[in-house]
Amino acid sequence: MAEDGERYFKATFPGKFGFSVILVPGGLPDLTEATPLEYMERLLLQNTIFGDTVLLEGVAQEAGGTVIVTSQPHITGGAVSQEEIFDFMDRLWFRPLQCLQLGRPGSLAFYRDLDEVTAFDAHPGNFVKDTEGIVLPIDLILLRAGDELQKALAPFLAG
Amino acid sequence: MLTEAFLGVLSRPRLNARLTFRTLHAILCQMKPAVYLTDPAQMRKARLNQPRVSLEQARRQRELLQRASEKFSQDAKRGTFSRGRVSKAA
Repeated sequence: MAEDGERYFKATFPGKFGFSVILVPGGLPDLTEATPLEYMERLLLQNTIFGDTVLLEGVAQEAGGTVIVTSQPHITGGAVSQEEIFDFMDRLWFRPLQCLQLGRPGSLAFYRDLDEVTAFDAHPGNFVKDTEGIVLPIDLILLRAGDELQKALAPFLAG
Repeated sequence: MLTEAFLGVLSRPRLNARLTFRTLHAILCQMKPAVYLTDPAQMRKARLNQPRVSLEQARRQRELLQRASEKFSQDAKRGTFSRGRVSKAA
Protein backbone atom coordinates (compact mmCIF):
# COMPACT_ATOMS: atom_id res chain seq x y z
CA MET A 1 0.00 0.00 0.00
CA ALA A 2 1.19 3.51 -0.74
CA GLU A 3 2.41 5.49 2.25
CA ASP A 4 -0.38 8.03 1.81
CA GLY A 5 -2.88 5.28 2.63
CA GLU A 6 -4.89 5.95 -0.50
CA ARG A 7 -3.89 3.36 -3.08
CA TYR A 8 -2.91 -0.27 -3.17
CA PHE A 9 -0.16 -1.49 -5.42
CA LYS A 10 -0.62 -4.93 -6.86
CA ALA A 11 1.88 -7.03 -8.79
CA THR A 12 0.96 -10.18 -10.67
CA PHE A 13 2.99 -13.30 -10.02
CA PRO A 14 5.74 -13.59 -12.64
CA GLY A 15 4.28 -15.05 -15.82
CA LYS A 16 0.76 -15.18 -14.33
CA PHE A 17 -2.07 -12.80 -15.07
CA GLY A 18 -4.98 -14.03 -13.02
CA PHE A 19 -7.74 -16.11 -14.50
CA SER A 20 -10.12 -16.12 -17.41
CA VAL A 21 -12.84 -18.55 -18.44
CA ILE A 22 -12.82 -21.00 -21.33
CA LEU A 23 -14.96 -23.91 -22.45
CA VAL A 24 -13.47 -27.30 -21.65
CA PRO A 25 -14.24 -30.47 -23.62
CA GLY A 26 -17.88 -31.20 -22.96
CA GLY A 27 -18.75 -27.54 -23.41
CA LEU A 28 -18.66 -26.51 -19.77
CA PRO A 29 -17.02 -23.26 -18.65
CA ASP A 30 -13.96 -23.49 -16.43
CA LEU A 31 -11.20 -21.24 -15.17
CA THR A 32 -7.94 -20.99 -17.03
CA GLU A 33 -4.88 -18.79 -16.74
CA ALA A 34 -5.48 -15.45 -18.42
CA THR A 35 -3.22 -13.85 -20.99
CA PRO A 36 -1.79 -10.38 -20.28
CA LEU A 37 -4.32 -8.91 -22.71
CA GLU A 38 -7.22 -10.65 -20.96
CA TYR A 39 -5.93 -9.34 -17.63
CA MET A 40 -5.81 -5.80 -18.97
CA GLU A 41 -9.32 -6.14 -20.41
CA ARG A 42 -10.55 -7.33 -17.01
CA LEU A 43 -9.12 -4.22 -15.35
CA LEU A 44 -10.63 -2.02 -18.04
CA LEU A 45 -14.06 -3.56 -17.42
CA GLN A 46 -13.60 -2.99 -13.68
CA ASN A 47 -12.98 0.70 -14.39
CA THR A 48 -15.78 1.04 -16.92
CA ILE A 49 -18.57 -0.85 -15.18
CA PHE A 50 -17.74 -0.29 -11.51
CA GLY A 51 -16.21 3.18 -11.70
CA ASP A 52 -12.84 2.02 -10.46
CA THR A 53 -9.59 3.82 -11.19
CA VAL A 54 -7.18 0.94 -11.58
CA LEU A 55 -3.98 2.33 -13.09
CA LEU A 56 -1.28 0.50 -14.97
CA GLU A 57 1.86 1.47 -13.08
CA GLY A 58 4.38 -0.57 -14.99
CA VAL A 59 5.53 -3.83 -16.49
CA ALA A 60 8.62 -5.62 -15.25
CA GLN A 61 10.56 -8.52 -16.66
CA GLU A 62 11.64 -10.91 -13.93
CA ALA A 63 13.35 -14.28 -14.04
CA GLY A 64 10.02 -16.09 -13.74
CA GLY A 65 8.33 -14.02 -16.42
CA THR A 66 6.52 -10.76 -16.98
CA VAL A 67 5.01 -8.90 -14.01
CA ILE A 68 2.23 -6.32 -14.37
CA VAL A 69 2.05 -3.68 -11.63
CA THR A 70 -1.19 -1.79 -11.06
CA SER A 71 -2.61 0.47 -8.38
CA GLN A 72 -6.17 0.82 -7.10
CA PRO A 73 -7.80 3.12 -4.53
CA HIS A 74 -8.16 1.69 -1.05
CA ILE A 75 -11.80 1.37 0.06
CA THR A 76 -12.27 1.74 3.79
CA GLY A 77 -15.03 -0.37 5.25
CA GLY A 78 -16.18 -3.87 6.04
CA ALA A 79 -17.44 -7.07 4.51
CA VAL A 80 -20.65 -7.46 2.51
CA SER A 81 -23.18 -10.25 2.90
CA GLN A 82 -24.24 -12.69 0.21
CA GLU A 83 -27.56 -10.89 -0.09
CA GLU A 84 -25.80 -7.59 -0.63
CA ILE A 85 -23.72 -9.09 -3.42
CA PHE A 86 -26.89 -10.38 -5.13
CA ASP A 87 -28.68 -7.04 -4.65
CA PHE A 88 -25.76 -4.98 -5.94
CA MET A 89 -25.34 -7.10 -9.06
CA ASP A 90 -29.09 -7.20 -9.66
CA ARG A 91 -29.32 -3.40 -9.72
CA LEU A 92 -26.68 -3.36 -12.43
CA TRP A 93 -28.73 -5.91 -14.43
CA PHE A 94 -26.37 -8.82 -13.79
CA ARG A 95 -28.28 -12.08 -13.56
CA PRO A 96 -26.98 -14.90 -11.36
CA LEU A 97 -25.59 -17.97 -13.05
CA GLN A 98 -27.17 -20.68 -10.93
CA CYS A 99 -25.11 -23.67 -9.94
CA LEU A 100 -22.02 -22.34 -11.68
CA GLN A 101 -19.13 -21.81 -9.34
CA LEU A 102 -15.67 -20.93 -10.57
CA GLY A 103 -12.97 -19.70 -8.21
CA ARG A 104 -13.23 -19.71 -4.44
CA PRO A 105 -15.65 -22.33 -3.04
CA GLY A 106 -19.12 -20.80 -2.90
CA SER A 107 -18.22 -17.84 -5.09
CA LEU A 108 -21.02 -16.45 -7.22
CA ALA A 109 -21.16 -15.86 -10.97
CA PHE A 110 -23.24 -13.40 -12.99
CA TYR A 111 -24.00 -12.50 -16.60
CA ARG A 112 -25.31 -9.26 -18.09
CA ASP A 113 -26.76 -9.61 -21.56
CA LEU A 114 -26.81 -5.93 -22.48
CA ASP A 115 -23.05 -5.88 -22.95
CA GLU A 116 -22.39 -9.65 -22.70
CA VAL A 117 -20.18 -9.25 -19.63
CA THR A 118 -19.70 -12.10 -17.18
CA ALA A 119 -18.49 -11.70 -13.60
CA PHE A 120 -16.96 -14.58 -11.68
CA ASP A 121 -15.41 -15.10 -8.24
CA ALA A 122 -17.92 -12.88 -6.44
CA HIS A 123 -17.47 -13.38 -2.68
CA PRO A 124 -17.05 -11.09 0.36
CA GLY A 125 -13.30 -10.84 -0.17
CA ASN A 126 -13.86 -9.15 -3.51
CA PHE A 127 -16.29 -6.48 -2.29
CA VAL A 128 -16.15 -3.76 0.35
CA LYS A 129 -19.03 -1.91 2.01
CA ASP A 130 -17.52 1.48 2.74
CA THR A 131 -18.11 3.65 5.79
CA GLU A 132 -21.19 5.18 4.12
CA GLY A 133 -22.62 1.74 3.33
CA ILE A 134 -21.77 1.94 -0.37
CA VAL A 135 -21.15 -1.51 -1.83
CA LEU A 136 -18.17 -1.59 -4.19
CA PRO A 137 -16.61 -4.57 -5.98
CA ILE A 138 -12.83 -4.54 -6.01
CA ASP A 139 -11.53 -7.65 -7.75
CA LEU A 140 -14.04 -9.66 -9.75
CA ILE A 141 -13.03 -11.77 -12.74
CA LEU A 142 -14.68 -9.90 -15.59
CA LEU A 143 -14.77 -10.76 -19.26
CA ARG A 144 -16.88 -10.32 -22.35
CA ALA A 145 -18.46 -13.61 -23.31
CA GLY A 146 -18.11 -14.63 -26.94
CA ASP A 147 -20.89 -16.50 -28.73
CA GLU A 148 -19.74 -19.94 -27.60
CA LEU A 149 -19.42 -18.95 -23.96
CA GLN A 150 -22.81 -17.23 -24.06
CA LYS A 151 -24.40 -20.46 -25.29
CA ALA A 152 -22.61 -22.43 -22.58
CA LEU A 153 -23.78 -20.02 -19.88
CA ALA A 154 -27.42 -19.93 -21.01
CA PRO A 155 -28.47 -23.07 -19.08
CA PHE A 156 -27.14 -21.56 -15.87
CA LEU A 157 -29.21 -18.40 -16.11
CA ALA A 158 -32.13 -18.35 -13.71
CA GLY A 159 -35.47 -18.56 -15.49
CA MET B 1 -22.82 4.53 41.07
CA LEU B 2 -23.06 5.89 37.56
CA THR B 3 -20.24 8.30 38.28
CA GLU B 4 -18.07 5.44 39.47
CA ALA B 5 -18.76 3.51 36.28
CA PHE B 6 -17.99 6.58 34.19
CA LEU B 7 -14.75 7.19 36.03
CA GLY B 8 -13.96 3.51 35.60
CA VAL B 9 -14.27 3.82 31.84
CA LEU B 10 -12.10 6.94 31.83
CA SER B 11 -9.44 5.29 33.94
CA ARG B 12 -9.04 2.34 31.55
CA PRO B 13 -5.82 2.24 29.59
CA ARG B 14 -6.14 4.22 26.36
CA LEU B 15 -5.19 1.23 24.23
CA ASN B 16 -8.32 -0.63 25.36
CA ALA B 17 -10.51 2.34 24.53
CA ARG B 18 -9.05 2.47 21.01
CA LEU B 19 -9.58 -1.21 20.42
CA THR B 20 -13.16 -0.95 21.62
CA PHE B 21 -13.83 1.96 19.29
CA ARG B 22 -12.31 0.14 16.32
CA THR B 23 -14.29 -2.99 17.01
CA LEU B 24 -17.45 -0.92 17.32
CA HIS B 25 -16.61 0.89 14.08
CA ALA B 26 -16.20 -2.41 12.23
CA ILE B 27 -19.52 -3.66 13.57
CA LEU B 28 -21.33 -0.43 12.69
CA CYS B 29 -19.88 -0.59 9.16
CA GLN B 30 -21.36 -4.03 8.64
CA MET B 31 -24.70 -3.04 10.15
CA LYS B 32 -25.02 0.09 8.03
CA PRO B 33 -27.76 -0.24 5.39
CA ALA B 34 -26.25 -1.04 2.03
CA VAL B 35 -26.20 1.70 -0.59
CA TYR B 36 -26.24 0.50 -4.19
CA LEU B 37 -24.88 2.91 -6.75
CA THR B 38 -25.51 2.10 -10.39
CA ASP B 39 -23.77 5.02 -12.08
CA PRO B 40 -20.06 4.31 -12.61
CA ALA B 41 -19.30 8.02 -12.20
CA GLN B 42 -20.91 7.99 -8.75
CA MET B 43 -19.01 4.83 -7.86
CA ARG B 44 -15.78 6.50 -8.98
CA LYS B 45 -16.56 9.52 -6.83
CA ALA B 46 -17.15 7.26 -3.82
CA ARG B 47 -13.91 5.37 -4.45
CA LEU B 48 -11.91 8.58 -4.64
CA ASN B 49 -13.41 10.06 -1.47
CA GLN B 50 -12.34 7.43 1.00
CA PRO B 51 -10.85 8.33 4.37
CA ARG B 52 -7.14 7.78 4.58
CA VAL B 53 -6.09 4.83 6.68
CA SER B 54 -2.90 3.71 8.30
CA LEU B 55 -1.07 0.62 7.09
CA GLU B 56 -2.18 -1.14 10.27
CA GLN B 57 -5.84 -0.29 9.68
CA ALA B 58 -5.57 -1.49 6.09
CA ARG B 59 -3.97 -4.72 7.24
CA ARG B 60 -6.74 -5.36 9.76
CA GLN B 61 -9.38 -4.66 7.11
CA ARG B 62 -7.75 -7.21 4.79
CA GLU B 63 -7.86 -9.75 7.60
CA LEU B 64 -11.53 -9.00 8.24
CA LEU B 65 -12.40 -9.52 4.56
CA GLN B 66 -10.31 -12.68 4.50
CA ARG B 67 -12.24 -14.08 7.45
CA ALA B 68 -15.55 -13.14 5.82
CA SER B 69 -14.49 -14.95 2.65
CA GLU B 70 -13.46 -18.04 4.57
CA LYS B 71 -16.79 -18.13 6.38
CA PHE B 72 -18.58 -17.64 3.07
CA SER B 73 -16.74 -20.64 1.59
CA GLN B 74 -17.37 -22.76 4.67
CA ASP B 75 -21.09 -21.96 4.53
CA ALA B 76 -21.10 -22.94 0.86
CA LYS B 77 -19.42 -26.25 1.61
CA ARG B 78 -21.95 -26.94 4.35
CA GLY B 79 -24.77 -26.04 1.99
CA THR B 80 -26.14 -23.37 4.31
CA PHE B 81 -26.57 -20.67 1.68
CA SER B 82 -29.97 -19.09 1.74
CA ARG B 83 -30.23 -18.71 -2.03
CA GLY B 84 -29.01 -22.13 -3.04
CA ARG B 85 -25.63 -22.63 -4.65
CA VAL B 86 -24.15 -25.93 -5.66
CA SER B 87 -20.67 -26.58 -4.34
CA LYS B 88 -17.98 -27.55 -6.80
CA ALA B 89 -14.33 -27.27 -5.90
CA ALA B 90 -12.53 -25.00 -8.36
